[in-house]
Amino acid sequence: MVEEAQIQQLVAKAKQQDRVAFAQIYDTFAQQLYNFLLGKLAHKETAEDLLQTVFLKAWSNLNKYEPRANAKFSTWLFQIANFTLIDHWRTRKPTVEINEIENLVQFAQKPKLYEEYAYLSQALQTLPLAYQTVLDLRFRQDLSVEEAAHIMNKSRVSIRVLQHRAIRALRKKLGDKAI
Amino acid sequence: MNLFNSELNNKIIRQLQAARQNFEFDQAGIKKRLLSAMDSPQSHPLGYSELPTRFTFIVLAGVATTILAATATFLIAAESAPGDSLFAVNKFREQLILSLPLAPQKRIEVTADIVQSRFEAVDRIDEQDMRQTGQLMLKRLETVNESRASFQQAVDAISLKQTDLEQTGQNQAATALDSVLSNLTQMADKRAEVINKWVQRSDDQSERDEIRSSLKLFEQTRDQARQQLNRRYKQTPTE
Repeated sequence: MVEEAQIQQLVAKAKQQDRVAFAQIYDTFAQQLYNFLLGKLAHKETAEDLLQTVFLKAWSNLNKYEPRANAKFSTWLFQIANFTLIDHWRTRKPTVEINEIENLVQFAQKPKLYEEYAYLSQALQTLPLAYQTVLDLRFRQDLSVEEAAHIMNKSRVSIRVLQHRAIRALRKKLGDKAI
Repeated sequence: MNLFNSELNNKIIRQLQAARQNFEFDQAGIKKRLLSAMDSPQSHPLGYSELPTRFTFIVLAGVATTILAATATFLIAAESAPGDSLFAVNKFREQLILSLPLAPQKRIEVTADIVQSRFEAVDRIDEQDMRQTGQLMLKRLETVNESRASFQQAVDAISLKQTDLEQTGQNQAATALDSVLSNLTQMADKRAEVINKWVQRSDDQSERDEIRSSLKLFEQTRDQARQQLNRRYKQTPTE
């Protein structure tokens, strides 16, 4: 696991047009961000395209990034990813074609685990984007309420309310499977 | 029912956590395309003049909306409490008033009024049905936090003012502030009891921990107020 201090050093270099440093930043966070995007999109190529967009936006806006106490660089990247996702969500077709939702088991590093929890992924896919995002950030990415609040541009209390509602909605979708 | 729901929620959270894993993707290919795209002049991290971004637009739109709606909204929001949809507007209004060049005594009065309104919000929530859901718990948490913050602001303002007055020999004026601080401290005592009752009754462990931790900070502020009063009583000459 790369320490935040090392990340900030890479960021400082990348701000000086050091592409190698930025490539290392990509290597560090690409998997995490890809998982985050794929979870909402359920389409490998679209997730890969958006991942590239996220990092390109990060590169273009690095001069605006200022390190803050108690805030990681990854939080800023996730913020870009979240807004990119929201923009994409707004432009997608209202009904997604069946063949656009892929069976992600073929890409899972642990296919058996994926199949075991396939019902959960299917239920999550039916929730509003904000619900999916808060559940992903809090319980899959394991981020704190404060980090999730910063990424989603909401207050801590709003995140707690959103989380509470998201879990309730998921519980309803799961029905008997929740017990 | 709440206990059962809480258990189900925790079970769902555990399932979400257990289902975590990585997915394969063309990491190297994307990196290659990314580095190639980074060579484009428009993607340069320095010296790239952008068109207004979506974020900038949202901020500007938000400011314009706030200005346009400010007057009527301030009036409507004046009674709103922590957790209400217009509370942020009310809080902004309060801070706006405090930012005006008020006489020190007036400033303390305004601060004390704000504390009082927060404490009244604690009372109103306490009257609501304790069996209601997580939304009420979150409202309670926000009310406790806001009460503590405004109380702290008042204690700091009064303590600072009393020190100034003592140093300039205005002991009578400093003594007048003792009663303000004492009233606030007594009100805080009552609310601490109410908040403690919420902690005891809550059946959600994480919410209980949060309110307990906020209550601890609230009590620290109250103790700070008491220490200030004790300091003043010790040094005030008796006749």
